[in-house]
Amino acid sequence: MTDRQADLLQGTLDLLILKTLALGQHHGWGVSQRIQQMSKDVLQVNQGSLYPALHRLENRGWIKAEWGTSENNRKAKFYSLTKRGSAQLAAERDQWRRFSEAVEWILETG
Amino acid sequence: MPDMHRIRLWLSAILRPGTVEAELEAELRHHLDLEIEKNVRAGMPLREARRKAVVDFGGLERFAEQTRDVRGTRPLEDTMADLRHALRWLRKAPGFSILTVLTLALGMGATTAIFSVVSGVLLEPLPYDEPENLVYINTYFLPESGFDFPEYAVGSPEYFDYKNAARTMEEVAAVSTEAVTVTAGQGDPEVVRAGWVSPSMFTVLRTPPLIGRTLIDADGGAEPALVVVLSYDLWQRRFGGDSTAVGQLMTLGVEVSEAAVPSEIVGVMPPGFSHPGEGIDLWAPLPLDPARTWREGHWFTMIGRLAPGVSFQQADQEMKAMMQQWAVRYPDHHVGHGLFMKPLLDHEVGDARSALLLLLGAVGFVLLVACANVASLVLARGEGRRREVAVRSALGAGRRRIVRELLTESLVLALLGGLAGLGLASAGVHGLLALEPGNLPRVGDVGLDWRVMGFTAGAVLFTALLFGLLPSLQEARTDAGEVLRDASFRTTAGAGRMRFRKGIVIGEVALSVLLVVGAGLMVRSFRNLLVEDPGFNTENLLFARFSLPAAQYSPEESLVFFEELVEGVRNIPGVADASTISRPPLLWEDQAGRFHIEDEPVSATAPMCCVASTIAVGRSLHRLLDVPLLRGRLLQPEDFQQGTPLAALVDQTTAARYWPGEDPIGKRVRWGDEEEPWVEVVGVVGAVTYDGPGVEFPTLYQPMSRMAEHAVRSTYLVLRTEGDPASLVEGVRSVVRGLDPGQAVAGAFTMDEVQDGVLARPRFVMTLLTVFAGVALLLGAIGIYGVISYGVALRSGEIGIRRALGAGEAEVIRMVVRQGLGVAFIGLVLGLAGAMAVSRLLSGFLHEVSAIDPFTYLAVAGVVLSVALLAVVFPARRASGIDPLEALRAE
Repeated sequence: MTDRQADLLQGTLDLLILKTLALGQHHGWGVSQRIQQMSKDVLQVNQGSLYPALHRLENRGWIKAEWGTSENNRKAKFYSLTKRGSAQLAAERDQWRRFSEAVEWILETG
Repeated sequence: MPDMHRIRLWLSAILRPGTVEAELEAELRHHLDLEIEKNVRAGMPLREARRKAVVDFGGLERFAEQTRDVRGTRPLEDTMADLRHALRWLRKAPGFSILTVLTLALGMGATTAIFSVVSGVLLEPLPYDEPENLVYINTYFLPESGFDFPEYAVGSPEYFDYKNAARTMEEVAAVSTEAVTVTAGQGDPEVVRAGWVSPSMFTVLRTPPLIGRTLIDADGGAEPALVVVLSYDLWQRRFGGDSTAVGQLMTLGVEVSEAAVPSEIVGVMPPGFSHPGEGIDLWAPLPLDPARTWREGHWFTMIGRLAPGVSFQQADQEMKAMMQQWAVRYPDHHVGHGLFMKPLLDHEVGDARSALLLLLGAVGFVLLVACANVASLVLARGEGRRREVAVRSALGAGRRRIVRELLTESLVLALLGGLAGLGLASAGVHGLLALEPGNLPRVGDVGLDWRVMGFTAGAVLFTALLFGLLPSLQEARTDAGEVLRDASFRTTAGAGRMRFRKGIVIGEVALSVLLVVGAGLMVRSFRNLLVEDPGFNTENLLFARFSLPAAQYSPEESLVFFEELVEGVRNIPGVADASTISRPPLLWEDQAGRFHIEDEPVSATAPMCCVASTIAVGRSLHRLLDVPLLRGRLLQPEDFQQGTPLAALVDQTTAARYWPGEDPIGKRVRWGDEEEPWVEVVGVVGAVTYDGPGVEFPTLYQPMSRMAEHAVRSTYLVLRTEGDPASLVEGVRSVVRGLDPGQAVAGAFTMDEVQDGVLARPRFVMTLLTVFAGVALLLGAIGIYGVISYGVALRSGEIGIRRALGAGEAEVIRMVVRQGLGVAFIGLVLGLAGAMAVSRLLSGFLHEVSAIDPFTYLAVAGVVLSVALLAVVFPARRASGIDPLEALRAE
């Protein structure tokens, strides 16, 4: 993805991360793979945006991190959703729906 | 919760900064590894896999930066890193660090301490409301009036004329002091200082009473009310702080007034209030008759408060204009005589001002020297790091980063120096106050002055930053590569810096020399004071002051009292001799008077031709004091009896001034106008110092029993004792009690105490100046040491070459020493020249020493050169120890 597209999707990226973590705990790499998977390879996360996003979300208290052992026995930092995070997820979902509906209306006019 | 999380993050950043960083790195590494694995599984060779992973990731360091930025703890982490780096750097150069901190501490500490004292005395406002609007008013007599007194008291008509006409003053008041005997309350009878004031004094000063009331206008007038206001101290001392004291009656025994009607206590003033002067214990209204009588003559001074919005200049101008009008309107009194005013603070500080200003000047010098030193040291340091800075800039460290690091270093140094300086300043202020001679006014107001500390710290810090950053900033702009490549680049530019540093050190040395010269002159002056001959035998003398209230003692009764007192005291074991004297020597009470010599011309406005102090003496006073008789005879017992011809003695100074080349014996003098009797001069005695060391003022002596009434109620008892005079005070008191239990000794002191008091101020100034000179010299030595060391380091290559070519150790040492002494010598010459230039400023403080005394200058030169020699010893030895091979290799 180019940088321009990455910027546009910053808010969306947050939403996608939150959703991914709602479905289970992941480390950073795992999150990017899951998003790619779930979007059927349409969306590939720019790794340069991923970690800042993760830390930003952690700062806000919507996700929390824990060090643990990964599937190949390496030390890795695992992220999971917090209660506030899941409330935020619901809110952002609503927002996204309204946003995409509005865009649709405009595109359908005329 | 986000807040908890944030807090934890910040704490981690502070306490375990390394860990947070390491975690981030680990996380990113982990991601990268997994990417690489994925690529490998997709079939790429390892190197290709790694390259693609890194490219996809887009630059590890950038994210680390971004992520850190997002985390928000960045500035704090950077600061902590800078601090650690700074501390490490400083530890690596202990010599520089210690010297700089020492310089900073000395500079800031010494200047803060002395400035605190000076500002406490000179700059603090007086403890009254809006004190800048208070003025002191007194009169002057110019020679055209027939008298010559730069300052004299005010008379009642002048007071009222000014009070009624002045539009620039809100209120004026008359103040005077008097010795008063009090017996009320608890304790022995004591003589206290009382303020005889117009009630308006309290309006002028605006200080409210602690309890009760102050004097009000209704209390004043020609027949003032019999009321009195007490000081806090007196109230505590004699009435135990009991509020029922207000309303009680107390009798005031006053030597000039025969009224002995009790006065009512109407109020008590708060602690610390005392006007005029220190130690005033009560205030009573003085009689001021608006009918403007001259009956009392000139006998009080005035204070006033400027009207709102009026400046001192305006009030002063109005007064000057008024004096011109008075000269026209009252030509018999006001030609060459009138009122003058000055700000009250100036009056209270008095002649301590010049001493303090001198010290302030010295303070400025020391500060300059300290700043120069810091500049020099920091410049040298900057030099040594040019390579380091160049290397780092080549490696990509941002200029801002480097500058920030240097700033942090300077700040750490300044902080350390500041803390040390604070400790020094605090100790210094305590030390100064312990030394202070007791006649520095307003010492109670002195404390550690934070403003000064701030100013000084700012000055030194500014210098450190300026000289620290300059070379480095310059570096960041030049081509780093050039610096690294060209080793000799270091030497040539270094030489230019070296000259600059030498210049700074020369300046330092010059300033130090100025201070040392000043101190040296003061030391000589002080020694001269010590050996000054006062004209009498100063050993084992005790003085006790007496002030008899007129209500209880007529003039005849006073004389009898003092006769019996002298007799009684002579009988105390341990007393060799006793007499009375109206004014003890060396007490500096600055009395001047006039007398008239027969056959000298007389004018209407000047009934008396000549000035002299007149001292009333008891029997055999001159023998007691061991004052030599030069001509004629001393006063005999007949001269003290009533009815015999009046006789007086003159001293050598009077004889030389008024009868040069003649014999004064047999000449006649009188005190006062034609109605006063003539007195015959019967002897000439040696001059005694009354006014100050080296001051010769004509003095006349008369028997107390033959003098005018007002002179007989207060005098000093003087005893020559066999042992320690202080031990006889109790004996004197019991004699007094035996004669009259209601009388008090107004004060007792020994001649040793007086001498200490006389020497105290010069000793104080001398000590301070010496301390400053020492500090400045030390700093100068540090400066020389610094610059010579640096020179040695700079030229280590050259020295190595010389040694390789056969130069011996001695030769190298000689070279370095010559360089160091050269710097010192130039500074010395400049400093001595400067000292000669400003010598006039110092001459007011010097006693019998010329301000360009060659002996002192030579001594200073010797001291400075010796110190410089010491300062270059270490660098010289280091230079001689340079291994030629190593030095050449380092090039």
